[in-house]
Amino acid sequence: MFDAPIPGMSLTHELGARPWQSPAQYTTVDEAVEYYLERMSTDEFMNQMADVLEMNVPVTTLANTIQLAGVMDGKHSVDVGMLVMPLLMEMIMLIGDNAGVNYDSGLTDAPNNTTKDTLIEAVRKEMQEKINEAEEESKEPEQEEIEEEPKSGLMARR
Amino acid sequence: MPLVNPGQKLYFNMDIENLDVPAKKSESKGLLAPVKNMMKESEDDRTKQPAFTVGQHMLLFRKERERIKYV
Repeated sequence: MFDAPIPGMSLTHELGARPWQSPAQYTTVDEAVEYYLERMSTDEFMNQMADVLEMNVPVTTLANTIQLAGVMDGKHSVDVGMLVMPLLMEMIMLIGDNAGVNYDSGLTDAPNNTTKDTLIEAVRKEMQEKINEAEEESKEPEQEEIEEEPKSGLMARR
Repeated sequence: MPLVNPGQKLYFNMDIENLDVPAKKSESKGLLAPVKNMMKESEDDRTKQPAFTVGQHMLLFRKERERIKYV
């Protein structure tokens, strides 16, 4: 909540200093579609997208993020982004189907009561780290005892 | 205010199942066939809408997805 920008923060830069404040690079939907299709049809992008879909990130979220990034980069306007978004979703789902991923389309309103595998994995990692830390802490005093040097001072007790 | 993802609404608003692409008229090669297209171009403005182009692209992707599913 406190990370949100303060009122007037957007006016602290000169007008036109941000990419989205200057005219968009692609002004028509056709140009924007061509731009996205070209970007999304690369092997690298498709592999990355399949990985993200595997993590159960909804397709709607991905499409929104992609078009929002386009707006922020000054590639196209917000309205062109809105028009292109369904196509992005269809393209992402095609990539998922092609890779054989069981993805979450984000099109259903029903609450998903199943626990995500990624969440379980994150919790497992966190717990593992805590266990490792606790083990290390319990080991440390023993090592110190072993490493104790024999006292060789003149007044040392024998 | 929570951020709202418009993706779901936009996707369902496209309604590409009922996207009827106007069929091309068969070009007759008769001697008396009109050379110029006398139909007004403004008659089907719907096809000039950007959403229509997007819908056509989506339809292609949808067909490809269905083909993959049933292979």
